[in-house]
Amino acid sequence: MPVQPTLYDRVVRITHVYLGPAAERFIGRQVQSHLHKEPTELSERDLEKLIDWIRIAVSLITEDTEIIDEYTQQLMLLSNPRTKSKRESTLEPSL
Amino acid sequence: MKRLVRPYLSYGILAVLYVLLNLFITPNAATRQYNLSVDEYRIMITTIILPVVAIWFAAFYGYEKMRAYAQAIRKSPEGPAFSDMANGAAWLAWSLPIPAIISTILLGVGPNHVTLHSAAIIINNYLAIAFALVIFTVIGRATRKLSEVGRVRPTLFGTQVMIGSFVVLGVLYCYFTLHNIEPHVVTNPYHLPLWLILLTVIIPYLYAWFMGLLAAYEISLYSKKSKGIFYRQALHLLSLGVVIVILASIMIQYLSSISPRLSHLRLNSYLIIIYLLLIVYSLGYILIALGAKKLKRIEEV
Repeated sequence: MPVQPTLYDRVVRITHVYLGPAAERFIGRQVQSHLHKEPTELSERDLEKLIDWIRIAVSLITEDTEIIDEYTQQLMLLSNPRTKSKRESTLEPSL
Repeated sequence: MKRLVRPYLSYGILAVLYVLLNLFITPNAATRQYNLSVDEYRIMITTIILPVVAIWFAAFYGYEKMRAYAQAIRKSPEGPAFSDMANGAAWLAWSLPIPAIISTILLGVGPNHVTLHSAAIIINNYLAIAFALVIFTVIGRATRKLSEVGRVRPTLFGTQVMIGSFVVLGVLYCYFTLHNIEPHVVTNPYHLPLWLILLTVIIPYLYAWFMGLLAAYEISLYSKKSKGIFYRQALHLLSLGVVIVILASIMIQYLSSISPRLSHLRLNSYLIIIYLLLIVYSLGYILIALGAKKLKRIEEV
């Protein structure tokens, strides 16, 4: 039976598109220094805070806000998609 | 901090030494060849040595940034490759002031002592060859490691272009070196017998340049195939810088080893060629420094 990738693995996979081989080290540093936990202990509750820190860190590397937005949006999709879609549907204005 | 200060301190000492040597030692050969007075020679040499010293700074700065980046990623899979690359950049940086200073001393003292003149030329030639061999071997080892880590293989077309360029470069080099070479050791520009020129000048240079071209090709391939938008942008600057520095140093070695064949050129043309190569060289080092700085930034935030 295939092992489900952890949240940390999924965050690293997305980050790899932007930071290449530096992705794992980058996420490891963000989790350890800002969330004060081991990368493998990353949970969905930490995601929002982690994304905020990632946005700040990446803005120090590039000024290209479009890519930063694209990257952080990809990360936001990792927070439980079912809860997210339910929340979005309740917020939609009724016609 | 100590490690940071050391390269810049060494640079400062060597730069001051080089400027002073050039201002106080006047090679008779150069003044005779271009009919210059001592003052004219000093003015001309100042316009060359100041940009040269600025390029040395770019080289030391680039190597320091590269070393800092290699240190930051030493435990990663790419760590050993970038560590070798930083060593190569260090050799490249040191290869600028050391032969220049030794050459200034030897060629400055040489013409006044007939027996020293041949020795000065032979030492200069072999010093340049030794540096070329070490630099391109170390950088070649680094780019080979990077290719293995990135699992990139040279394409057929790329290999054909590289070998084709090398053949053209090599054949022209042999032509310029051996064309009309005097059989007498004393009158030929290398002050060496033909068999020794072939074995200890032409073959080592061709080997070193092949290693250099291969390294340039491998690092550009690695930077193209690397994943990561931001990482690739930074790596692209660094690899472009390495490629430019390798090609420019090959050109400089090429021109300096066939320079006796260029003696017919007018001083202006010779200076323009030197300035162009120096500009290209410094551009390469600036790109290395920018790329390494950006890569290190990724490891810091």
